[in-house]
Amino acid sequence: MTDDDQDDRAPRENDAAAENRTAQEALLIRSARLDAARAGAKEQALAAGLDALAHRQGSRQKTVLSLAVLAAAAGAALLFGTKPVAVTPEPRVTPAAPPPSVAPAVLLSPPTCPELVIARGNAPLIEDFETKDSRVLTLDGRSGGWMTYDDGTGKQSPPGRSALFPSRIPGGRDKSQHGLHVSGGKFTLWGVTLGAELADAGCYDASAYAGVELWAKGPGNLRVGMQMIDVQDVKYGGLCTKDCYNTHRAVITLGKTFERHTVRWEDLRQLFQGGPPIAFDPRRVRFIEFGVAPGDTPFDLWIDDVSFIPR
Amino acid sequence: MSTSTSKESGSAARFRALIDAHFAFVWRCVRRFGVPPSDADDATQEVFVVAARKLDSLESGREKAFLFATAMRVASTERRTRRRHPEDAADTLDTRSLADQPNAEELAELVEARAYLQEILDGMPVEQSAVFVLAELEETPVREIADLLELPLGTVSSRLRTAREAFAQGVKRFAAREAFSRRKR
Repeated sequence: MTDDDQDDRAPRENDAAAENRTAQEALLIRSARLDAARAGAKEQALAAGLDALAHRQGSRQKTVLSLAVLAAAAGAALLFGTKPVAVTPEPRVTPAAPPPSVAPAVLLSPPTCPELVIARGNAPLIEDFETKDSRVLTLDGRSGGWMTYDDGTGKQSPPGRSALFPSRIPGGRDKSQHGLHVSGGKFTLWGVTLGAELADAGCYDASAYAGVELWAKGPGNLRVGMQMIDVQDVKYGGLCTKDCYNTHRAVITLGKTFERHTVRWEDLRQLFQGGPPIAFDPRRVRFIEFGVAPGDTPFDLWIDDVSFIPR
Repeated sequence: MSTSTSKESGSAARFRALIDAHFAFVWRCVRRFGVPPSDADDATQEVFVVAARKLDSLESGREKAFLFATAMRVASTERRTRRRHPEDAADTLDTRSLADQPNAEELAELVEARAYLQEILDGMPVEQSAVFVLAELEETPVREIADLLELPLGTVSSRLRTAREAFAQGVKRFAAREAFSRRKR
């Protein structure tokens, strides 16, 4: 029997399986065939889609959450899996460190994001994790969802490629009752990353702020990153064509108890070789992300009260 | 200017064709990947909004594969945001599609069966449930499933076999539960 013969047999195999079903199996299968959208749903989807089409600006640079996240994972895997890492010394920010001497962020111009949300700088709190959903707080134009992804070489909880929801902090942290909790075993390729978009499919201009701060505990090192559209693969709406996802990051060292950490824009560096060096530009940010490198796994990470730093 | 307008019209026409061809399929898929009936319209709409945004890069002939993959992702996110209730399944029953119109008792039985089917599907690893949904509920030939999921035929067959075994085991539990509940009545 050739493969083609086997292929052609497939529908008949389905028929045979149907004939051999028990009455209960047939009942369950039959119940699924009753699934049907309500009247008008198709027309609403058509209208929403046409509206999205009409609002495209530079549509080839558009993207969506899941694809971008997966692309980031794939790009990171490529980067970490095929190249020597940590060629550039990693900038470290100690917990609750006073801001370093202020130097203006190096900016690229002009911004070329297809959709741009410009922050006013009047609502720095990105997420306090006290709501039960996986979305970032809709303040200062922000919109996005928390997700986690990993390199597939180990196991984490919640599993990779899933939305992240707040967890109750045992005993609480001051007035905070919930935070983001991710833990996992040993990873060997590029590790684990969690993060959120700041403007869904568009870019977020965070230049009204001076950096980000968070409360976190480990122990271990945590890479705090802001992913610009420039390092994202063009296939997923970014501007990068080669050696992508060299995100701007800074490494903070977590203790066993919650501590406040700050990362200012000037602390962010591209940590790895690959692709053209790009100066960090807070006007072109797509994601905020937190990464655990393979050397810092296994890990048990809590994050809470993620916020921008007002200027 | 006219080129831009023409392109936009072409995109709109392509999107309309996409909706016409695959809306019902996507709706059923998000439902079967665990989105409750009350949210399935929104989830399906989200899938097509994603498709609209990606329309220019959407490879011709791969639209259904893209929509299926997107439906899986959207459903995965959606189902984590809400807790499903078995009674939601009642919303989905369109008895007009039945050759024989069910009476009230048969309808109740179908509602219960639909909820239990979802429990079984939710209990499968997603790579198995994807194949099972396509093969058993959508009656998609194995060759087309392999193409949609970009998997070797052997992998699809293996996953389908495993999924069918899981389904059969789940149905046995359903039958036992049915027998128990009927005995109690």
